Amino acid sequence: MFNMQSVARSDGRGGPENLRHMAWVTGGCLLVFALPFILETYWLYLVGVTAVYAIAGLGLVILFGFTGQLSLAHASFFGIGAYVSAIGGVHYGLPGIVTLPIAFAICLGAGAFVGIFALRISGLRFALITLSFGELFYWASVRWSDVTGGEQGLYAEPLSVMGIDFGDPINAYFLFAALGLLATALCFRLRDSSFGRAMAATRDSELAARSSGVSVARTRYIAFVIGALFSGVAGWLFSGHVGAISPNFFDMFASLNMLVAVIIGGVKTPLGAWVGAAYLVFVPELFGMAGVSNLYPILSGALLVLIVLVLPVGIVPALQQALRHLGTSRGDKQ
Amino acid sequence: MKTLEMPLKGDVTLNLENLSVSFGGLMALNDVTMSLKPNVWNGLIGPNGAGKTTLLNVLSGFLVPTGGSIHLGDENMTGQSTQNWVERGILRGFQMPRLLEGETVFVNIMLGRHRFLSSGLGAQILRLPQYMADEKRDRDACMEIAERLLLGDVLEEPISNLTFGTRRLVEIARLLAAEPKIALFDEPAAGMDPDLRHELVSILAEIQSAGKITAVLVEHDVDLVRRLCPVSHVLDAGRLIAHGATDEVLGLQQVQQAYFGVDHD
Repeated sequence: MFNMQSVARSDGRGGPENLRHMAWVTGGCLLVFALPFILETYWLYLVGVTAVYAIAGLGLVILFGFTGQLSLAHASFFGIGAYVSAIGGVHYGLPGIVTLPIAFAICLGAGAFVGIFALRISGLRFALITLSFGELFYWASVRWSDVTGGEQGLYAEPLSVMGIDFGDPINAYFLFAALGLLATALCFRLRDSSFGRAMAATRDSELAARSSGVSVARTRYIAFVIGALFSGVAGWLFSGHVGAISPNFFDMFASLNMLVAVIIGGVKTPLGAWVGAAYLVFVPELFGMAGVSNLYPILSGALLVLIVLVLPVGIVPALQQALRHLGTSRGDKQ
Repeated sequence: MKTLEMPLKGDVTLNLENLSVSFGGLMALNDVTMSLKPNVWNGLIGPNGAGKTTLLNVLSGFLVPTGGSIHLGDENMTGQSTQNWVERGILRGFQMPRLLEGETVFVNIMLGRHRFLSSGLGAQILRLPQYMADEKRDRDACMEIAERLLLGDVLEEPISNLTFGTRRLVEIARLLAAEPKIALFDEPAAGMDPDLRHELVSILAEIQSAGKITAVLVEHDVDLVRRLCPVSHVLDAGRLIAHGATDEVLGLQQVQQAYFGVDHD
């Protein structure tokens, strides 16, 4: 079963692995630059929405996938970012470059506050605490109508940062692509860092974590705040892009939808957030194109059950497994 | 190579004085006094329920004693957090391996290096040179340990694919990756198939004879204790009933009675 010929294997993370990595990155970049020339404006807009939800989803991947904490307030942080951006623009005429740090700071504060509970509580009980925060946020966004526009919501100006108008779909697309890629790279680096291992340890075995000197509470707390920040920045992008926001974008169902999306995509991989976001955005659209959009609420449930049953690990990990399987069965065994 | 900053200075004795742990009315440990001398391997034996695992829990910060004190050299370790114990190089294994099921063998072993981390989160994400140098140092250390524990071939395997014996090896690899000054093993060889067990025992013997770490070995296999531990402590019903040179301790009548249930004469 065991032998000592393993010395050669240990350098396996070197050459070919790197090459394949480069190929993926190059392919991705080409796709990113080609899309605006292929897609019509509306589809480009949808790709933008996908990127926004993917950035928020990356926050959930960090929080739920890497650290194992369930949050039902993810859409609330998304909402904080969106409202700060919209209110700042509409009421105070603030440009995006000013509202971004404000949104960031408020999400940091709110995340830091709600995260305090994560220091002591985990699992479903923590999820319930986030739920109550989410409900509070929803209630405030409806009731504080002088500022938030209540149920009607707010119109939001397209983002304009340093003289560049992101109302222009191509500009917006590149902004979202850049931020989306940045967030994805950040997420990958976080996963592969020492902190990433600490997160995995708090998720999989608290005893293993503690007996290796990892502070479980601190790790959970930081992961929660990072997740909130991802979501907040995504929300900041969201309001300018869709042009109008209202409380139901940020209620409990929105939080659940975000969770569902990353679970479908693959909760432990950053790419899962993208697939999940694309699912959220494009599946309803496809129903619409087929002229059966009223079937979506019914069939989406069935589709969801189907995906979860057939691909319990999520779409991205399932694809990766299939690819690996294909690779080894083609004869290039180690 | 950068030398690791270890708060533990030189070779220090761990002294337990009148240590007690009670759960409700049950005395899991009752007035236990012992000292663990530097670089000595200590057998910790006794029947089931004698308090062996409880003692390991106390010696790693998982359990706060209800009475008595623990000193590492001059430093009072009584009631310190697990993190502080780990920081001082006192590390434990578990009777059932505790691993990150969703991660690879490599990641699991790397977790052991956590205590040597000197970079903040920002430095990790930006991959600053200092952090990358530390990562490389840690990766090399893990590779070496993995090879030694016959895990070189399965480094990229997820834990969930492994057999029980291999999982145990991974946990021991994680413990060794942390470069312990004092290692606490809780039945490290139990439940392993004979071949793997043989390998593990010879690895442990090798570490023991290198004489660089102190260890406490909870073990039911008396031959293993004889081979690895020159000194042994015997617990029975929470009390320390004997301690001294392993051969002498095992020969004592009261130990045989408590441990084997044998009544001579």
